[in-house]
Amino acid sequence: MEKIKLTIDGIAIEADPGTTLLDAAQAQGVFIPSFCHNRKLKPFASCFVCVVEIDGRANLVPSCSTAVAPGMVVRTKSERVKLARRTCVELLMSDHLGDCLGPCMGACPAGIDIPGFVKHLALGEDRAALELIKTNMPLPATLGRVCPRPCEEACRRQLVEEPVAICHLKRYAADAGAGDESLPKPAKTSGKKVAIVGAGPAGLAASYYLQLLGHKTVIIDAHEAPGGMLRFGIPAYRLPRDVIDREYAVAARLGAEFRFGTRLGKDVSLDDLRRDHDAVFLGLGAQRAQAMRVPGEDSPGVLSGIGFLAAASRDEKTPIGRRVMVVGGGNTAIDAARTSMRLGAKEVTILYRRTRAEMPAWAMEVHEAEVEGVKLEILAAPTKIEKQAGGSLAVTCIRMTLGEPDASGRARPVPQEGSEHVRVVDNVIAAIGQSVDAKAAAGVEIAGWGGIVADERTGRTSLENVFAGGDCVIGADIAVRAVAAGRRAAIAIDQFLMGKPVVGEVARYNASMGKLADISKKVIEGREKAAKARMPELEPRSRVAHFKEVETGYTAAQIRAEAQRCLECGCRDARGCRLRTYAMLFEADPRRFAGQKREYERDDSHPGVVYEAHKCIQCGTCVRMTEEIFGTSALGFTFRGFASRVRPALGRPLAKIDDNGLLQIVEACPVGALVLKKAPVAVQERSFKRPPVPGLE
Amino acid sequence: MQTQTNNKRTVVVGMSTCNIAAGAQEVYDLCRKTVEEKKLGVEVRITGCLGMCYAEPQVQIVEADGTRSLYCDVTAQRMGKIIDEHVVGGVPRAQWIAKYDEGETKDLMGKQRRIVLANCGVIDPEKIEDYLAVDGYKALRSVLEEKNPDKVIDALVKSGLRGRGGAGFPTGMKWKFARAEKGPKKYMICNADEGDPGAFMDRTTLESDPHAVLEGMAIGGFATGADEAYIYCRAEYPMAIARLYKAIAQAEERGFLGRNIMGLGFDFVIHIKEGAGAFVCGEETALMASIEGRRGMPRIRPPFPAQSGLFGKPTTINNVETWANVPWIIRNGWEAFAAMGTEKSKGSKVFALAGKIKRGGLVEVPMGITLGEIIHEVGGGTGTNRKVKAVQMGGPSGGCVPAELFHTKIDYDEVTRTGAIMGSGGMVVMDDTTCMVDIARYFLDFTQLESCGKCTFCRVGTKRMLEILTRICAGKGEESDIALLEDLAKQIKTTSLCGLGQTAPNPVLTTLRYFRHEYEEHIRDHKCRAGRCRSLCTFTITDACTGCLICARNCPVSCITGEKKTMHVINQKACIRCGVCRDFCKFDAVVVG
Amino acid sequence: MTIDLARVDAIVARKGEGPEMAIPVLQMIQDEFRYVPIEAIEHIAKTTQMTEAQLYGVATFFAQFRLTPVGERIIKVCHGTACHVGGAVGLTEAIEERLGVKTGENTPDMKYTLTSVACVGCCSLAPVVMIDSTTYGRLDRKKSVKVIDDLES
Repeated sequence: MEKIKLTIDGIAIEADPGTTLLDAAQAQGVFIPSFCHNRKLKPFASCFVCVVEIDGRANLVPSCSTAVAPGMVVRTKSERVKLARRTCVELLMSDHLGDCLGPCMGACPAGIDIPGFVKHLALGEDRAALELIKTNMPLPATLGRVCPRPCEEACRRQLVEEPVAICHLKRYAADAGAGDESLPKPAKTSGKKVAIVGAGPAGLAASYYLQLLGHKTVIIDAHEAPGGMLRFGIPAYRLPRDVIDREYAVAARLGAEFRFGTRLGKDVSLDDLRRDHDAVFLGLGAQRAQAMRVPGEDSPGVLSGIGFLAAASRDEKTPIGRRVMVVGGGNTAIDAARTSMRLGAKEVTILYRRTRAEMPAWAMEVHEAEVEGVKLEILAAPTKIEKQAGGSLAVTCIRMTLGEPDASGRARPVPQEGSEHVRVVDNVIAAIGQSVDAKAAAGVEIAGWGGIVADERTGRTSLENVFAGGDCVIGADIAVRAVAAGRRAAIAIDQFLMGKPVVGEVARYNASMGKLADISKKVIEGREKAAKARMPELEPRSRVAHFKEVETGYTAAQIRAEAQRCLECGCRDARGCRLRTYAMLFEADPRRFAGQKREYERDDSHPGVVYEAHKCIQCGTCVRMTEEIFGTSALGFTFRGFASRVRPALGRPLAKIDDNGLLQIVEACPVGALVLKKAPVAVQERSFKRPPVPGLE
Repeated sequence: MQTQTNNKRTVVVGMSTCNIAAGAQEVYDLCRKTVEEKKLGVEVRITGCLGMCYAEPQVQIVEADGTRSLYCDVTAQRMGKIIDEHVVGGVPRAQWIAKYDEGETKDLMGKQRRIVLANCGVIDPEKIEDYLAVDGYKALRSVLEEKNPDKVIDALVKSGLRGRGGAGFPTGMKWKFARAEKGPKKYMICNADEGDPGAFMDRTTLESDPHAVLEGMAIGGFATGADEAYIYCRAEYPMAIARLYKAIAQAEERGFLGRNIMGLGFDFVIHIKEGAGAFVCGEETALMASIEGRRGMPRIRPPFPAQSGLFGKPTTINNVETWANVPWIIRNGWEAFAAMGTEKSKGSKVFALAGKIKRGGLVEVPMGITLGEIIHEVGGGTGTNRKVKAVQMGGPSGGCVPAELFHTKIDYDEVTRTGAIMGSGGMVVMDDTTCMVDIARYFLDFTQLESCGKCTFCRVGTKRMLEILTRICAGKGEESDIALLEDLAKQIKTTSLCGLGQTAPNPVLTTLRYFRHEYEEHIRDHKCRAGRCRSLCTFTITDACTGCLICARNCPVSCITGEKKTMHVINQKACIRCGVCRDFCKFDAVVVG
Repeated sequence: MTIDLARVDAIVARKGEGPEMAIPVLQMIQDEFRYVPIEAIEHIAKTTQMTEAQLYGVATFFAQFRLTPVGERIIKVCHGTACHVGGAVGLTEAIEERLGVKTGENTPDMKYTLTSVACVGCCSLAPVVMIDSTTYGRLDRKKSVKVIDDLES
């Protein structure tokens, strides 16, 4: 048979007659995307993402079903082709309802594969669960105790009754794996050295992942022990010190060198660090207590929240008066109040200028404080503190009312004239926030508000080899965001060290069914209520006498039941899904054609397979496989136009059809519309790997 | 023209779907009853549609010598009078009779050149004798006697006949490809799935002269070597289907179809398949899928139907009008056909005139005459004080040609240059009460519902275009929407599998090209000048109002107040902006503002 | 609801069992039962070469087929281009109001089914409504309501 000569992207090639352009191009190593093409089936031409341009033809043609012809001049990379492919993917995304990732995972700043690890726990695979967690979170025992759990706020289980206790489960996995020396695996060394300033969560995370990527790290910190705010800002009854020590020990074991008592700008300069290391990561935190700006706040007996907590952290016998007033509404205020109780205070009052609803502190913590005897006084603020004879403090307070919302969106407290009254206490603890002091990092660009200016995705600063992340970049915030920033910076620093473009970890496109309020009732249809497992805790009256951990942790029996409450949101094909891959590849904008979308339609009647018509992109592969290969009519096209759907015959449940070949058909689905029930829920690898840089790999 | 078998006086009642919708059944029944009861000794017969749908029902009185009187707008009451005065009394009612050589009828008929419509409204479509009397089946006989298929194809090629379904592919070439295919089994298909909303050429032809189509198909079958054929006719045309069944039975009985036709050794069987309602089945591969019992989803070509068509066999597909031209070309010679029209568009073309036009109906004009001649001269313009704004040609696949371009000639290529397409012949005339954005929205609503759902750009893209147009019509459009719409339209046009998707954006692209200001007005000024988009218009009554109360009486929400002979006022709060008042006002006193 | 399967068998016997007969068979089923009962599809799939996926796919593809019972009379409002330009939207509103149902619905007493149709090819009489096999042309809101009133009386 004589070969046919044609040109693809300027290269002359030969192909057998009857070869499709797609096959001919792929044989030349030219990438052509496709959803509907399947080598076992006859060409169909439905998705149109494989289109190419042929000279002399006005229309783009689907390469999967166009045969080579003599003299054809084919272009697969022209602007027109690129635009068409991107539009194709955008149109498909506009009618693709589903979540690539579970909403919990999307809400987790660190991006922990939550449905994945929870499923492992449900199956009793504790170690696998921990491995998966550690891909994104080096401090699971710590964060499992102190994280305010944005993941649980997004949990769909609350549409049934309550969210899954994700954090408690994470803590369990971490505690269960404590002391396992084989976690994680050390990496081959690159010979590069990175200095990390600050042994808080950001610095630790940066160090951990840099080590896994083969780089040597040196961590300096002004304190005498590791942990930063974890150790000196969070009381031991919430986060036992051995837990911190245990998790930091992993870093040391991986080869991180700790230099405590070393203060940047005093003991060592940024220039020194830059000179002696290949790169520097700044994780300075936000450690300066904010002043109340009321007369008399420098009186003896007036303490700062973080100063007080740090002292208590060092010495469980730190003295405190009988009557304590804590000013502020955040977690530090609660921690200070509960710590005061444990140090022997008898009357502890938290003064907050707005109402309970506006308190930034975690509601559960407020509740626990009240259980322990702390009083909460809302809509009040101090205006003056006077030292009285005998050492007590007379605090003049004023009542507030809520006014119009301020810049933060919260109602502005307005003082009520004439409502002043005096309270006499022994100590006032000001816990109204922390700010960043980055002056020590001389040479780096500092923003007007005091923080370090750094790129959100990579942590790059104004200085060539200096990166930063955590509170010192974004202001005082939760630990999990600091961990995420450290991890992101590690990836970027690695790219920098390896001479690659410093782009950080490029986020993949993630489809989402939307916020809780947007979720179809059908999602939870048939789910029976099952209350969240209660976290066992120490009895309130006795626990205020010491700093032992209040929450004692789930029992093994509770774990399985709690993990099984997970609805397993997210897509089991998130890794293999071609729509998601192409969305990123073609830089598709999922909102460009936003409009009416297909409705949620899940069929899990079949023992081995789940069909989710709301994810289907109508490529027809499954339909053609049933017809052409298995000779059944199990699945077919129904209705037409935008309303057309692939459905089992007569719209029956999947369980009621001739399922000959169904398991093989599932594999051919280019998206996650048809998946095996036994397919892993996890979308991430169980070990941290260097993420690919798009365009290069 | 002599079409009767005897020389009796005859009353011929137009009995097409359109005539009946206008009331012809009642007229016909009365006619039969009176003639029988009074034993008038005249024959009552039926015929199809003359094309003068604007003046239906129509009745013709044919004298023994063959002279005809054409009565228009006949009601049962008038019919009684016509029988009494004309049939019995012998005195025609002159003022009800249309004269071909004067007035409106002359304007209508003067520029027409009837090939396909020649017998429509003249012969009885249910009697093969009538067709035979006008030289029916003579072309088939001559072809079979000569036994030279190549000569037939040659004649078709030289005639310059192009497919009348819309795309305009040369018919002779199509036949040639099919003839070149080997194999004992080949098929013919007549596409009578007239899906364009606003088109009714095929319905009328099949209802009024079915044999011409059958004869054309038999000639095509002989020329290409096919012995079996299907007529794929939409089920919404029950009368056309009934008359086709009747015609096939009569033709088989007389040996014009079936085995060994006219004893000349040619077999040709025609089946009828009723389409079940899918515009996309106008696309040939979808149509064939549907005949094979599958969903009407188009497949990629090649292979072309001429190589592998129905049931995998070589197949020739032409539409009703194309087939109906064939016997004429054979009888009169290709030269006569090729003498008509322009360089690349020969013969005549049937158009269905509808919308805001005085003389709506079916006309057949020689290729090469201008749009203006058709709309203003043949069709008589809007027939109201309003001006023609545009004409929509080619239905959902076509576009809107503005009045400024009415010098455009009827010619496949010239029409295509305007952005519209010749199409199958639907012409919907629009005046200034038609909103061009709304029209684009209307067509996209149609196409997105009719998309088979197979390919991405058509299935999702047309839906998205509709959503954008809908929000523009609702006053929620954004400045960027026009660019988004245009980008999407251009991409759908060049990145779709079949004709439906490739042409679906045409109504949007043409209105964007000629009426972009209307889009901009909707978006920027929140104004619909035509008064169609309810969120974007208000109606007010000017001092031209005479106080006739017609608008008030017809307002569906009774929101117009005013005494007789005093100016009326619309209660804007209650008004639903339906525009009924404007439609009814005889004094143009209701304005959009 | 159960249907008389003997009537289904009779139709298949008349039309044929081959897959290419799917549409004619469904059309006759609909003529017989006034809609296409799912039971009929199941039965045909069991007894002929036609499959459930084919029949269901076809029945949901073509506009003609109805998978649920319909009223005694079917009112089809034509939405062809000429009818649209001539006010089909208004007619629809008026009829919907008169019958108290939306397009695509049956009246509760099952007397009427209101549907829309792409085009009945009577464009010169636009706007047009077809009730069963009778076409009513040159309508407006009031006239269309009157057509129904007349049917009722």
